[in-house]
Amino acid sequence: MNNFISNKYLLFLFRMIVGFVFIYAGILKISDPAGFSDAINNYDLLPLSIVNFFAITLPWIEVVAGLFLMFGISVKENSFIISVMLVAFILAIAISLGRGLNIECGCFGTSSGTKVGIIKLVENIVLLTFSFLLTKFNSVFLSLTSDKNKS
Amino acid sequence: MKINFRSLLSIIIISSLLGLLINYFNPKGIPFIKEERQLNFVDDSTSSYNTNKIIEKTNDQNPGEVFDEAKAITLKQAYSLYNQNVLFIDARDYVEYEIGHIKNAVSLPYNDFDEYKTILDTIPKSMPIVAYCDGEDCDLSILLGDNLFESGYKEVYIFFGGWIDWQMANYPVEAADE
Repeated sequence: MNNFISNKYLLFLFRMIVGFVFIYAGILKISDPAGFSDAINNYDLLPLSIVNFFAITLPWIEVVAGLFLMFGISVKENSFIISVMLVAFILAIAISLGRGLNIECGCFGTSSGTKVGIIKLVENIVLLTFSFLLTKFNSVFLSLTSDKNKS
Repeated sequence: MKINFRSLLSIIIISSLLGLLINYFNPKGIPFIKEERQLNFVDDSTSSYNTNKIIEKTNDQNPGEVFDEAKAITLKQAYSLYNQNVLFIDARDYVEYEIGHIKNAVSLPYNDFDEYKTILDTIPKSMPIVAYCDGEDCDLSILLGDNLFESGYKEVYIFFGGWIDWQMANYPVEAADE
């Protein structure tokens, strides 16, 4: 099983999927900072004073980590950053579901109008699995950097 | 290979700084600290607000006072607007509206705005509107009020006391199937 999931082509595919999703999601959030700030605020989990700090910085971390992941730069580090973000997203969605909040997810900006729900939770868990495997096994296939760090 | 926490931290710090820098120069950028939506109440103590004026403005093609945002109103003000047949919009979810709402209010759940927004096609932009939800713990009325104002409604009121205050005052209510 380990051999199968540590297959370099499969890990490369995970890298592309996770990287693309994070770049896409980050760009949509960057294009509407005020909307994303409102979306974070609707979760009612962070104090108002730090909502905008996250609204400003988080999308850029998503884009940069996503780009690095796609290009195979510091894959372990970037997939770890993404995993931490995904754990936070999963918790936020789960808490909101538990509290019965019917709010916009804000996952892909606010224009898509997707609500938090079980599907969002599953999507994030799938991405977290991919991302965790990338942190565990690394992926250097078609990477911009040399494979000297190959584990 | 272990995770290199130094490069991990560098990635986070550099991306964050990039975000802060670009936000600073971005015309659509947001303030570093989010400001709470301050509700400005319609002034009741001066003559700038009275029920007669609402009617005048509704019928007037050139309303005198121009709102720069959705304005909050008290229970008393809400009731006087109600008596002038001003349209009330219920921002809560439809299920709650069904159980009970301010008499003659229309349901436009903020959480399903896109689904219900066609209702606005029948409401002229010049018409005064009062948005309300549950009460002071609920900010759907503010969100909907702001949304309506941005959609072009020129005279939007937010009745922040909402359904709870209205019921406590024993003002007219109805359920959806009545």
